[in-house]
Amino acid sequence: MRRDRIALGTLAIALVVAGADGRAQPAAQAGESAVAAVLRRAGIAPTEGALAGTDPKARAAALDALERSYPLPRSVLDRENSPPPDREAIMDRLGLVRRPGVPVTDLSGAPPTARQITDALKPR
Amino acid sequence: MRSSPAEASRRAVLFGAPAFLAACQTPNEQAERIAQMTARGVILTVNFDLNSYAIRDDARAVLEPLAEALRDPALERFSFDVNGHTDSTGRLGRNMALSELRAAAVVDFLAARGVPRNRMRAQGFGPLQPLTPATPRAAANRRVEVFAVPPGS
Repeated sequence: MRRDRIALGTLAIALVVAGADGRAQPAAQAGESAVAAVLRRAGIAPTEGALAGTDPKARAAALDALERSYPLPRSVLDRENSPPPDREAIMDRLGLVRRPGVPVTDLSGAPPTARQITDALKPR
Repeated sequence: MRSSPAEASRRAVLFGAPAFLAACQTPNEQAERIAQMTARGVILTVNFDLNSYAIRDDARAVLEPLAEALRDPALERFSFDVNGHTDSTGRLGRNMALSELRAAAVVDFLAARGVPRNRMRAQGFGPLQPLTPATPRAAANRRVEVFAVPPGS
């Protein structure tokens, strides 16, 4: 009986520890930068140079690895100087969320003010 | 025309809670609610060096006001899609990767200035959504689009 209690206690401690580990990992990932998350997905170590994009060698390695990570045929990835005809299918394949028909304000060309951006995005 | 409470209750019994809620709103209230639920976007020019996703000093002139705007209380319930786009010059794979890392770099810049990271999503479209489809290699296609997305969308 006593041995059973000890065994159950050990199991409970093990579950608590496992639970703590399980929560710690997502929390750490949730706090990572967006660039770090992309690099991690591409299998690239998030070195300082790769994160900032300031080291040409690390930058090129990151871009190469990210390219290879896309679930697209080589013929599509290698297409040059013109968009492919099956763009919607490619965006679907990559899980890219589009917002067709959403009102869009063109503020390109010159730096806008914060007020201009807020006014364009806020509910009316 | 506003329904009487008795009429509204009868509709609720017939059609359920959504119909009841709709019956309680005047047309103006409904229009306002629909307008509030609409996503909206802006197109911005954020310059990067060739084959680079490092934020340039001159890009801050666009990104600082963007950060201030996204922190505005009027947008506090919204989440934001930050989408990077390139023109068609060069290989598609490289452009996809560049636009994704550029969008991610913009998100990191905004997060460092107080925009909640968990309300932003970076996406790279490369040359797949040209602004000027007739001239896909034009500079106008190199851009960042930001969408404010209401909760539940």
